[in-house]
Amino acid sequence: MQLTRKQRRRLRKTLLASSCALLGVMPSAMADKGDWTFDTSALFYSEVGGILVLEPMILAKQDRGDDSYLTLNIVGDVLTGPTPTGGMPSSKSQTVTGPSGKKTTAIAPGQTPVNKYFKDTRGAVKATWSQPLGDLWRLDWGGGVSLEDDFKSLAANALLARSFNEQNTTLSGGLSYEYDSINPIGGVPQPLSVVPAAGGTSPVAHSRSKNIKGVLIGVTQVMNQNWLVQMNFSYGASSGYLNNYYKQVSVIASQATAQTALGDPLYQIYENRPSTRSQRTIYLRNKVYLDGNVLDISYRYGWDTWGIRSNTLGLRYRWALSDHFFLEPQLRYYRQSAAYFYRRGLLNSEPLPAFVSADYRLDAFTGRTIGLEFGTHVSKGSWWPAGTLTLRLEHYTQTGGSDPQVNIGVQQNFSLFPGLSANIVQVDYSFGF
Amino acid sequence: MFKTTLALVIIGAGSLLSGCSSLGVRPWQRGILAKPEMSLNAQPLMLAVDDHIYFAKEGTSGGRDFSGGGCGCN
Amino acid sequence: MPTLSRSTIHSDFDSNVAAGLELGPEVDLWRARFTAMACPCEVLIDTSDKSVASNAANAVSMEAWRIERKFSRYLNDNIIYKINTAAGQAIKVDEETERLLDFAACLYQTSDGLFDITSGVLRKVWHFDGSDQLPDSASVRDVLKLVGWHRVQWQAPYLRMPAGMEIDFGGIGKEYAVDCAAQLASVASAVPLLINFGGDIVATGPRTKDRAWKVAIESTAQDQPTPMVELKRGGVTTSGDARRFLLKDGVRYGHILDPRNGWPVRDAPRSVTVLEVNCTQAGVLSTLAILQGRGAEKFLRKHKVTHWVSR
Repeated sequence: MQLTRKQRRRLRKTLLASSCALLGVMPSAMADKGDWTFDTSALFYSEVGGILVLEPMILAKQDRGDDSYLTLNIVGDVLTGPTPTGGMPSSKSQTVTGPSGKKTTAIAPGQTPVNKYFKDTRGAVKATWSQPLGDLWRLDWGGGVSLEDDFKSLAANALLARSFNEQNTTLSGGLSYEYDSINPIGGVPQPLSVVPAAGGTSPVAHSRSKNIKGVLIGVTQVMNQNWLVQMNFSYGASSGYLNNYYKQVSVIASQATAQTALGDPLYQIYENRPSTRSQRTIYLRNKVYLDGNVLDISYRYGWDTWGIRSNTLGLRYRWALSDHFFLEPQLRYYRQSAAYFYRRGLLNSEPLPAFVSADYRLDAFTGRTIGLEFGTHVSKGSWWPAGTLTLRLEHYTQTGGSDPQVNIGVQQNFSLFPGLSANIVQVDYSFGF
Repeated sequence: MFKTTLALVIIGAGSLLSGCSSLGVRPWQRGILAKPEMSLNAQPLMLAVDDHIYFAKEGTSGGRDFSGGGCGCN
Repeated sequence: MPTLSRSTIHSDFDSNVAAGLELGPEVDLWRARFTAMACPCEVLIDTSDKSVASNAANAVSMEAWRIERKFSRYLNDNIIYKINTAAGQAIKVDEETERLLDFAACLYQTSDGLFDITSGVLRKVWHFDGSDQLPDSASVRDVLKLVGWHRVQWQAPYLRMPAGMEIDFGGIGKEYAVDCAAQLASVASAVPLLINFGGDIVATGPRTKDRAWKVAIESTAQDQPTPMVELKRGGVTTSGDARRFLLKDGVRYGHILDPRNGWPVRDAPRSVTVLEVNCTQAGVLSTLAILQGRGAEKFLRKHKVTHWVSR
């Protein structure tokens, strides 16, 4: 009797099904129950007084036999809500004009300027193929496309891994390349030019591009039956248009005049960042199995040519309450220094620097995340397959930042780093057939 | 039929053979490491969402793998 | 109903001795010993309660003896005897035998004929006594005419087999008995147990405080360390050709026969140990791995079976 290739590949599953039939029991869950496994997720991200993001995701993995896998990742997201422009508060009312020059947002005195009509949609598809090359090597390669209203991205990457020492040690090295094209609504504004009061920029181009070349070198090491260590070094070199065309910098009055109080913004200019940046990170992660529970501790140190240095500490503890239910508290601490060209604002008395950005993400700040995840196994129902349902709640805050140079006059009354407080809800269901 | 079984010694009481001198485990000791929750890529979409959020909100990104990027949010 | 025999270690046990089953306490669990299917059997019961241990041990031993009685090919009043002496007549089988035959049919198919419950008649020409007495090809060819599940007409619940052919469940029976006994004992009480029938093992669940059962596999090779298997739930089996073989002209003929040509499998590993979700599944995979000969490791890796191979 001849078997098809597929049946041969599924020998173990076939035997399991028939041994369970023999014993009159339900086949217990096996890692690969079918050719396809799915992981589906929906993310709700909501900032207090800020943006709201809805993001559905699907990760589909196909067992192609011979230990090869195809993974497809499809993501969509919708983002709406007020976004900080980078401008500073004023003692008077301000008006923020969107990039299209049509919609304006009135900003009350003392409030941080935001663009209320910020809206973006994104769709992305990524495919990865993973296959063994002989007994010791494995190659993963893939590519992806991401499309937004004003942004297109193409990416490709390849990672080669080799195992040593009875597969207790794995060394991997990979390269990635990403090409992005930025097509601002209303065109690319002239960097450092004054933002026109009533909108309607005079664009210097329709689009700009950037590319990112990356290298990743990693080691994973099995320490013992319960302990796994991962270490990565990554390098990424970006070049091209690295500005965010939405972001502006306020130029404030360094002296009070009849019309303007000391520290009040006089006008805004478009930011300008260097056209190259290289980033490096070292990442260390431990996964430890502790009597049924899993401790996951990670640390990352990052440094780049823009002067940002950061430390990240992550802690997760998967606490198995029973065979079918787990709780996972999650903590994360992140701290970064400011980019050398970061300024909360500029004084009208100082010469215009070559590079300046008031994007809070380039400022010094501390990010803290506290989260809790609940997971439970779900039995097969009338219309849903058996799987794992996970719900995660997270709270993320950013605090810090100040710029003594512009903390003058009326600005002393205002919060210069408005901070960020976001709530994150993610629901996930992973299943196979 | 085709088979003899070798004598097996059952060690019932908890006499753990305490840690071996070198790093790593033998293939038959991978039971725990093979658990899905011990995978470095357990819950891939949870990890991906974290990477994506922090990519959009912080100055340093990546480090764990090649994910992240592909977004005009930075 | 077997009763407990007096332990050789402790004197405060029941003294109403009966055949077979012996129960004694270990450091923090109970161990019961008995003999079934021509091999030493034992049950470890993770409880301090002697009556719970006794009930579980009884359930396990009763099931082992029941299955031995029903499917042994050495008895002349059971279903196997009836089938093997039917001389071409169709035999109606009971529901349990039907399930085993279905399973055997599935094994035959999925293994491309490597796993065949009709191959036992090859024993008539192969005597693995450590000598150099190989059978001649003609006699192997002759007996091979009586081997092959494809010659059997199996239409549940009726089995018809050409005269002279024989079936036996030796390759799966002991593992099946382990799993059945584990099920029965689990129904009787929720106490975690480890059942070992001559090296075919199953654990019904983790010990208290989520500890694993630790099983040491006696290695045949002197220079290799004793592998330890940590088991919380599931089956472990070891298949091998370590003890029985023929030696001729420097070639070692292990007792693992390929039912498709009637000759021993070349380059079979000394032993293959497999961990699986149940004992039957483990037994089938360890046997199939041995039957792959030189390709045993490749087979196990390909199907992602947790295994240990000794050569």
